[in-house]
Amino acid sequence: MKRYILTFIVIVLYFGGLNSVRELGDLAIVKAVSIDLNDEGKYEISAIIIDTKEKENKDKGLLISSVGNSVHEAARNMVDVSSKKLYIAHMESLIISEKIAREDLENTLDFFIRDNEGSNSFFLFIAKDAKAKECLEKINEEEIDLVPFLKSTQKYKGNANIKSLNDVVKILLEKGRSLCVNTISLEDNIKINNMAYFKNYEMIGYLSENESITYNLVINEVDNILESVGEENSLVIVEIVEPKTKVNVKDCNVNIDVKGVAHITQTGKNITLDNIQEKENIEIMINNKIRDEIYSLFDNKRKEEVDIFGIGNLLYRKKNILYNNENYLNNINLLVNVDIDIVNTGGIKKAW
Amino acid sequence: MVVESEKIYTVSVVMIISSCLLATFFGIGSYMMYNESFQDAFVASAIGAVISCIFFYFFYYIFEHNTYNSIFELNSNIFGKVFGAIINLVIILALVIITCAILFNLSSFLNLEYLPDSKTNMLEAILLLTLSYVCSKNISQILKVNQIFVFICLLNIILNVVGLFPKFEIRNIEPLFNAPKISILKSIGIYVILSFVSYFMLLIVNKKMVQDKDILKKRMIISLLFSNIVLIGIIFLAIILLGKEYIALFRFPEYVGLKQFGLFNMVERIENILSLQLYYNAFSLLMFLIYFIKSYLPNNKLAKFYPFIITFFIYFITNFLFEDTMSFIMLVEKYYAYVILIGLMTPVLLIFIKMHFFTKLPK
Repeated sequence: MKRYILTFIVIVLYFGGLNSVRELGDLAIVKAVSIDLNDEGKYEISAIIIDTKEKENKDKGLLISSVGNSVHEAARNMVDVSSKKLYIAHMESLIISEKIAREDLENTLDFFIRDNEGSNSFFLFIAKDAKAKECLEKINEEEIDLVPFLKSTQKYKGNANIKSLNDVVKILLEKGRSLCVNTISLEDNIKINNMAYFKNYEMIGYLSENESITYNLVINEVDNILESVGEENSLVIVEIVEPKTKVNVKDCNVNIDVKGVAHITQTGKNITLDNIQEKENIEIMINNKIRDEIYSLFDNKRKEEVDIFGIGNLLYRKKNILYNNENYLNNINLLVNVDIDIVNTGGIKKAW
Repeated sequence: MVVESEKIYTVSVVMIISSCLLATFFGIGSYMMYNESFQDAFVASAIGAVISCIFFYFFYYIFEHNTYNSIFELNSNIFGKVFGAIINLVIILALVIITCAILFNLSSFLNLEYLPDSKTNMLEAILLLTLSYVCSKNISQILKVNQIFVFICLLNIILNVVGLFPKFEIRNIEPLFNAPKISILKSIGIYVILSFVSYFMLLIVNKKMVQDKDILKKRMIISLLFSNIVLIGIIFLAIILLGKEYIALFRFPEYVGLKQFGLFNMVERIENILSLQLYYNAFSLLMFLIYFIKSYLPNNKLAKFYPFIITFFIYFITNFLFEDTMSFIMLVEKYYAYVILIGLMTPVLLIFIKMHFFTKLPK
């Protein structure tokens, strides 16, 4: 009898631990989430959940929405429409509205950082000129997989980067560094647009396409970028492959060194490429153009007191006394050195 | 309450250090150090490891010259019945509090990361039930369980480093020595005090039972060195993985870091398996702590029920001391180091002084 009682106690105790068990069928597996702040100041959450019943349209999920006073409350209210609790462990992307990015980024992200289920390795986007929900609807309708889309944009265009939420939060918390986040816009179709930039915890504005590429070039987040110099018959287009950037600081001088190799992919009629001098002239023009773009981006953002390249963070890490100065950006002497070598002129021997 | 017929090998003995050292820092020690000195925590731990050698010497002196079956017997004999009993009581009290803290820490970790819908005290009950069963066995079997855990943990740590390697950013340790000097000193103190638990646990082993005693000292030092290197390595890697701002956000940063694990873009999101090492180490330490408390009690008819009685009381004391996670963190931050300092380190120092200066030791 004693043995049975003991066995019973053991079973009760051990199976009590299975309170947290959840069957696969009971999970609303989330692929992407959008969050908007409506006019009443309430959070409107929409989510694409993987439809485990549908067998034909595998990429198309179910789009469900709910409203709440907080992100968590809105997420919980999802049970009103789906009867299942959201499971965000496999979430790939989070789209937030511009209003949230400007006013309430910290509180919104807090839910995801605190949640133990998620890995925070998903990508954050800001919906530009559209509601986040509208973007999500389009993504679901067109069955767009945002992650490969983002990776292609980063790899071949350079105006986006592939920083996960973990990285975004780290940058947000770091001293002397402004955050830039990918944006998504709804034109005829979904487009991964130029980056949005932040000051402290608030979004300030958007970078242009060139500025986005330049920013990613300086923070070493580009694989390939296209650069063009000259016009019409003197036009030269080069593809810079895997450029590497180093940022060093010494006293008030900040050196940005960009190095890389380039391939000529298109030229105008006047470009003959039959002598070294011409190639070197093109290299000088490209180097100057990139250098000017870096200077221009830095100066533009310095006016807004935005430390776009995280120079303050570098000063802080190197214990540079300049960091203690509130207006350290104004005291910085930026020196940019760009060294791009053209190593390949394409498969054509001479101009035709 | 020690049976001398059991055979114990030095390898099993010295492995106590590694599991206990890692367990004392998981969720408590590392949390305190990260919050105190941020990226300088690994420097503080390295300095702390060097300083802790002094205390290891005190401990080893007692371990080597103890001719009695346990530290409790030793105390009663060298300090007399009354003062010896007081010291023994202080040690037992400290051990009970440490057990409760480790138990609550482990169950809150399980609750937070594995079983969010289960109650913490239910998890405590399950853990204690298993522990009471393990502790009802003899010391050689307990050491074998620990030995298996240590090997699993070692493999796990190697796998973790490989899978997280691309995510490490060495710049995260900059700026070094940025924390206030007092904070670094506090961190060093935390390391020295908390690491003391790991080798104090060696006292559960009766030296007479160890088979290859002549190499015990050498292996102990190697184990201590290796365990400290592993612990400092873990602290360092956690800092360069998460960065000082991010690491301070989390209660169990090691677990959060494991979420970033990835092998060949294929093996991902296996943090629950990888973090089993954290669980195993804490379980081993709890095993030793309960066995230590058990060894204090007299050997009589009730002896076989001791583990169940001890765990029964530990359960209630834990729930009495720590109402929730917040109160646990506050109490641990304020008093945990003092409990070890007063309850374990001070008695060891007193014993050392008494044995070294006032007692004639048999040659």
